[in-house]
Amino acid sequence: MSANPTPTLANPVYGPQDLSPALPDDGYALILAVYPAVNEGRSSAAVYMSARVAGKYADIYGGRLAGAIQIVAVDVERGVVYSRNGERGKPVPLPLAMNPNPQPPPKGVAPVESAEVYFAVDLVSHLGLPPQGAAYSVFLWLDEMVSQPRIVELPGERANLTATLPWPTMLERNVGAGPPDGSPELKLEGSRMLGSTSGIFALLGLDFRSREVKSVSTSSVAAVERFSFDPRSVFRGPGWLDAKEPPRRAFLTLCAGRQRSAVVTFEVA
Amino acid sequence: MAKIQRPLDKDAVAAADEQIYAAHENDPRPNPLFDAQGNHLKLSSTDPKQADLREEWCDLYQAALDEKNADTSSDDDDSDDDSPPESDDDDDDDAAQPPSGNDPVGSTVVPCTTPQWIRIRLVRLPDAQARPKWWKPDGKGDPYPSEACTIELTNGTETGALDGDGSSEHANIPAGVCAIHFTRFYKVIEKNLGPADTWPAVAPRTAAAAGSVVAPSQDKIRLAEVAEVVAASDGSDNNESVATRKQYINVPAGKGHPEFGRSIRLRARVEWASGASNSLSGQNIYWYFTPDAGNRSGLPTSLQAGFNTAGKAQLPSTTGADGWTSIVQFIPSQYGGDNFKVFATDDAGYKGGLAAGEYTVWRRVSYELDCMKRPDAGTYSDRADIAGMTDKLNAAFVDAVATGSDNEPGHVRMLGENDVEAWATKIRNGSGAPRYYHLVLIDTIAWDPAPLTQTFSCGNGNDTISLSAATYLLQASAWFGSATYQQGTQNGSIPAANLTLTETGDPSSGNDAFAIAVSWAGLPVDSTKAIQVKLTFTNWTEGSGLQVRTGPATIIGIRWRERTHRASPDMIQKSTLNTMLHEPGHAMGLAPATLPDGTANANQYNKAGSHCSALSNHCIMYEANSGAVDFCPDCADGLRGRNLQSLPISGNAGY
Repeated sequence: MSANPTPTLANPVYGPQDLSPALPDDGYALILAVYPAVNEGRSSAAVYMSARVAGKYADIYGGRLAGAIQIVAVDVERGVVYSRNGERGKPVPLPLAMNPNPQPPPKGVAPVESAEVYFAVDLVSHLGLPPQGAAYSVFLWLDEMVSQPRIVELPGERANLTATLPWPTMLERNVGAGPPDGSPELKLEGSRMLGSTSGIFALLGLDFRSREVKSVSTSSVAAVERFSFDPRSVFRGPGWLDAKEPPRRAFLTLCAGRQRSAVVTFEVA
Repeated sequence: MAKIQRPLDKDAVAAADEQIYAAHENDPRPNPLFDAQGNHLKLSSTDPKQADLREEWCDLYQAALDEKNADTSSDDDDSDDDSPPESDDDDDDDAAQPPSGNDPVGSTVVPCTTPQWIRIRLVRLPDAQARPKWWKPDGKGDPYPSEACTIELTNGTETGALDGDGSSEHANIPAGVCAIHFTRFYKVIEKNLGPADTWPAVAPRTAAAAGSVVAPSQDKIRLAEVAEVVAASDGSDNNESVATRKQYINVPAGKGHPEFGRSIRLRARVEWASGASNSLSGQNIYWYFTPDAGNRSGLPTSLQAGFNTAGKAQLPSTTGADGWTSIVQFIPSQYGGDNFKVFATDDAGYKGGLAAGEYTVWRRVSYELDCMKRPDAGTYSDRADIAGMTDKLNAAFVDAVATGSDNEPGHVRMLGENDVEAWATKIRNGSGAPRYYHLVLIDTIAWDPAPLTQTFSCGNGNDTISLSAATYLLQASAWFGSATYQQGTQNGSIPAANLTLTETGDPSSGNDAFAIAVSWAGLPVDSTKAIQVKLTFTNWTEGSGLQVRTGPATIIGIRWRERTHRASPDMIQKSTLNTMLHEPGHAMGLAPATLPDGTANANQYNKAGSHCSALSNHCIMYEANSGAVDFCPDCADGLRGRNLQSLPISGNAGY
């Protein structure tokens, strides 16, 4: 977390700000900057986001890019996941507004090459983080794109750690291979996803159509845990690969401590 | 009369009996010796009227004894207790002894025990009718002390007066009929009314008639009626019949409106069972209620039903002299749909009694509907499913009552969050605050205008930038930020005048868009080749709905619904209804963090307000709009528990 500035963000702000991280001259980027902040007398963090994304995202999400980008905070000690997109209030539900199957524009209409979007939010109030002190791995997530995680330490008394998290039944242990150092890794083999990590970790999924972030958190039993799962059923409830019509697509990543795997895309017919 | 000696001679007794019955066999019957059927009766030993017969019998006995003695020299050793009755002036103490129980059959007389007693008390009773002037008013129920009287007892007549308590008691007298004569009392009456045979006929009193002759000590209290005390318009209290009705507990009590408020004023009246009008002060009446089996359980005390105070399920009350109890307040529970049958009873066990009304807990809110004119014709009112809204609220025992008029405000393409509150206030003319909410159906509600920069590949005939209205929202009067072009090494700014914004298409077709036509006039580019245009424009976030505190008002955008659900018009209605319930639901304290019984609501979460994830994210109070039009059980529970006295209520608030 950057030092010094302590901006107060009672509400999210949109458009480039002085504290918004600068985008590179060329290419696509999803960048966040975090500043210590105070919100309603409570220690918090101000998250400034800058993004330049490919035209395809503009074709899909149009002017609702802030609503498509997820701000994710993973409690590194518990694996608990908090997330919310960059919009506030009750906008038209993005799943109802987005164009999941963009087509090339008709003759006479200029195609979009790229789009830039900026916003800043107060992390604690926007994500509804609990009042206890904690360390969070914070990153931005737009489908295949993901930012570098930033560690945000929020001061305060730490909540007592609960008992060891049970191992999720949907994760089959002791299969596959992974990095010997236990850094989180995720890859798709056939119809199954292979994971490898260590310590307390969270498996996260972002459903393309419902825009919902799903997660399951647990702790490794072995020094380096290797497991596999069926991505179609790894998360329960509505909003996971259940769109009435294709595309039915999801994005998955694995977070452990201060590390995060690459995003893996999974799609079903 | 002959003085006979004991023990009596059995033969002489039998001879005397036979002779006396024979001597009177033809006397009119019944008489002291024969009943109506001719059966022999024993002579009374005390009846003064039979004194002559007793004397006759004694003479016959003595004659028979003399005759026997003359004929024989038999002794008296077989005599027994079959003695004839003896007169009261007989000095023989044996007369007071109880009989042996071995009375011989056929004896005409036997000594009588005297275990009986009689007590007379003379008291005043309420007047059956107006008194004559000469009859002075006097006390009520108090006795007549020292009243002169003559009492005919079974063993003689006594003349004297009642004691200081108006009583006279006589013990150890034989069984029989007594009579009492209040001589002075009768003389007073005769003096004023004349001889008794000249008195007018007076109908006998009945127990039910006013002024019963039944003494209060023997009378009973009965519960006569229960009434609801209703404040009239002049502020006075009136007794009205108890009712079965909805009780709108959130509406302040008002004169003439007993159905408002969380308090129902009741009282009960008792009366003497005999109909007497004596004082009824100090009688106990007991109040209780029976809740329906379906009533909410587990409510904290403050939300429970009770008498005079919440949670007090039973209450005794006391009557005044007029028989009415003091006013008792029945406080229904604070839970919509709870039903209570209230009773008043004279049973200290709180059972039975008279019904004191049946009340079902409801809340009442007022809503006003204003629907903006469409850009072409008509208004958005055809999207407002008022019946659906009221039905859903009714299900939670909230009565939504229309107020104000639909002002049909003129069309505005888009209203911003910062302007809509004042705009809505101007069109509002309903009443009912603070139990009021305002539904406003408009074209589009939006917020957070922000610069958005996009790069387009123009030129070569692709000189229109098309921004779908599904995800972009531009305000025609203030959309342009900046524009630059680059073609090879050529670059520069594009003047605003070279960019023309129009809104094309139709939401009902799903092709509505903001089209920006780019003119290359005056710019050093070859428009037949690709030209990169970087355009920054102000884009708004389109809202599904917005709750503003003033009102509170629910602003509902309709255009996006008609676009999104164009293939299924029913969904337009449901989506609108969802917001018509969701946003007022917030004002009514949903989604509740805790349930009415104090337990945490596991489905509630705070994200852009208090929301609910129940029913797999298909509760009305889920964060995102959908076609869901049902409150989940927990939100319905919370809504039924809210008092709704003043809107808005926070979802995190208690009850």
